[in-house]
Amino acid sequence: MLIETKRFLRRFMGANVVNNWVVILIISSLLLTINAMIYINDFHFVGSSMFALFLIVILVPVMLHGAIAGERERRSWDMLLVAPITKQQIIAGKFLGVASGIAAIIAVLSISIFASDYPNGDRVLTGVTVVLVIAAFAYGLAGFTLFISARSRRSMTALGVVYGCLFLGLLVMPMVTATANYEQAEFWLYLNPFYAVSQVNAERYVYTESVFSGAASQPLRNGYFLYGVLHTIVYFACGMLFLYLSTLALNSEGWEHPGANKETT
Amino acid sequence: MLEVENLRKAYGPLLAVDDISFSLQPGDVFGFIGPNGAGKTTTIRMLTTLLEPTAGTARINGADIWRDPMGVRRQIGYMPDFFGLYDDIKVWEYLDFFAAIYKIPTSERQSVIDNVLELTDLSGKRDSFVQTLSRGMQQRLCLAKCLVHDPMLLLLDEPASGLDPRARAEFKELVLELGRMGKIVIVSSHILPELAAFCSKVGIIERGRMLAFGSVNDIVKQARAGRHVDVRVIGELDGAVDVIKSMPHVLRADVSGPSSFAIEFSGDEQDQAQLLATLIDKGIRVIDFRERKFDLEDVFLQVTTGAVN
Ligand SMILES: Nc1ncnc2c1ncn2[C@@H]1O[C@H](COP(=O)(O)OP(=O)(O)O)[C@@H](O)[C@H]1O
Ligand SMILES: [Mg+2]
Repeated sequence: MLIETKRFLRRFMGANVVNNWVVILIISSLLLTINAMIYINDFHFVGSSMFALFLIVILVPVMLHGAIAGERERRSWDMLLVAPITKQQIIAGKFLGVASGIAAIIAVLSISIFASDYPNGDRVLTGVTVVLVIAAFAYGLAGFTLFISARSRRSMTALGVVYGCLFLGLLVMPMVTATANYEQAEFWLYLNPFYAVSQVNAERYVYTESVFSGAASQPLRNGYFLYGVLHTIVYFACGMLFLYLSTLALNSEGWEHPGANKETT
Repeated sequence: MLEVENLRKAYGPLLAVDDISFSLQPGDVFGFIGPNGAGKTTTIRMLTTLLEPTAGTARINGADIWRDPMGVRRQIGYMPDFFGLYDDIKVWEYLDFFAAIYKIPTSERQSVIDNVLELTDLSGKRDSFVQTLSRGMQQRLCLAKCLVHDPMLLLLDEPASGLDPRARAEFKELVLELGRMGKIVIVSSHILPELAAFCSKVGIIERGRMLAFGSVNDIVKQARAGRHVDVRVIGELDGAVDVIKSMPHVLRADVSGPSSFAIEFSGDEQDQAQLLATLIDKGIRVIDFRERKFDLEDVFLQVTTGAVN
């Protein structure tokens, strides 16, 4: 189902190309500024990988929120559902259509990641791990967005729910738990890709001469490479799980008002 | 062929479709008529396997909607009452997408697409973007999409709504052509004249119940067992009515105006002639004696208001 990719490209390269790219440019420069403020001294790879993650967090929900809810809204969904294809095929088609787009974005972003400074050397190993974590997170998020889209009647609702969940899971929960209870904070941070990409580096400090005084006492950190690999696996697995859950939610109604589409003409 | 058996759909206490049964043969163009909320869409959606029936079943060439939904889907083309097409996509790409979904081999897709575009009169719009098409063209494109896999059964839910008269006429031609191609076409509508003229079979549905089913002639005959004659006289009306009431075969005779009355009787043409002869014999001055012709519209109004059955 290459058609999804084609439509996506047309939407972003086509008629209102200026609008779309202006928005993306504004977001990008904003993020770059924030990054520059944090990593003021050099072009640190944590900065560039966080920038990549920011873009992923913003773009992936935009790319996928309407995949199914949008079809319901547009009323093209029933015509797809009456075709002799299985629900798995529909989900796979939707996912693969966007997956190539995500791959392209990550390929572009990884250029800047690999070009960054790695103060402690080992550019390839650290760089690859970071890119893997980011890619896995992107696909996991894609699966999650597709799932929410499969359960919503309106694409805007889906987008709101996804951004809301991201805001809660990546920002609010780590902050709240960090002030309340350190153990839980570790759990929320562990799930957090922004933290993960910085940890890949932090572990290198542990291995060479430790800069963090408390670092050695934390049992989870037994090697920076393993750390990132685990994230990659967890994110991918979550993505697959959400894809599976999406196939269960492919009715023609959506979850908001079951049976509310009784049109009277 | 399509066989529908005791199909039923309940939404809580509401029976949206109540025990509908009928069967259609290849070449049948079936007009599915009923007021809004009668259960047309619900019935059609059950036939498409999108909606699970509460009870009953349907078979299309032996493929059962319960046991072989994929087999059913391969044989049907469904045009929903409200539908949207994809934006940012060209007409031929749209059809190619569905041709791929229906597993038409790549080598044949080109000719299949050309054929359906030709049939739906959209050949000139091959490379246009879908969102630039007029409503009537989008309707035809949707129909073209329904045809890429050469389905046996076409389910068109209120296809004429939102079309101007000219587009309607074209659409009608198209539907007739599909019937001639040997497909079963089900067309639903809440407007009777739209369908009565060209459907080979008609079903009238109200509140989930199929009140009449058959060819237009059959239905009219069925609903109107007797003949109806309107009579206008000069002079004494009550006397004339009394004369008529005493005649054989007369079921009823009612005053219908200051100088007119209506007769319902079960006889044939001979008896009808005898009615007039008798009136004149009795010295009643008849100025109008006319058989009332009924068409499907009258039947529809009668049937759906519960005057008959
Ligand atoms: N999802 C639903 N939930 C509850 N009632 C419904 C639902 N869909 C349709 N109905 C009811 O079923 C009846 C038949 O509806 P429908 O088949 O759409 O009628 P038609 O297409 O003939 O206008 C209506 O009374 C409608 O309100
Ligand atoms: Mg309807």
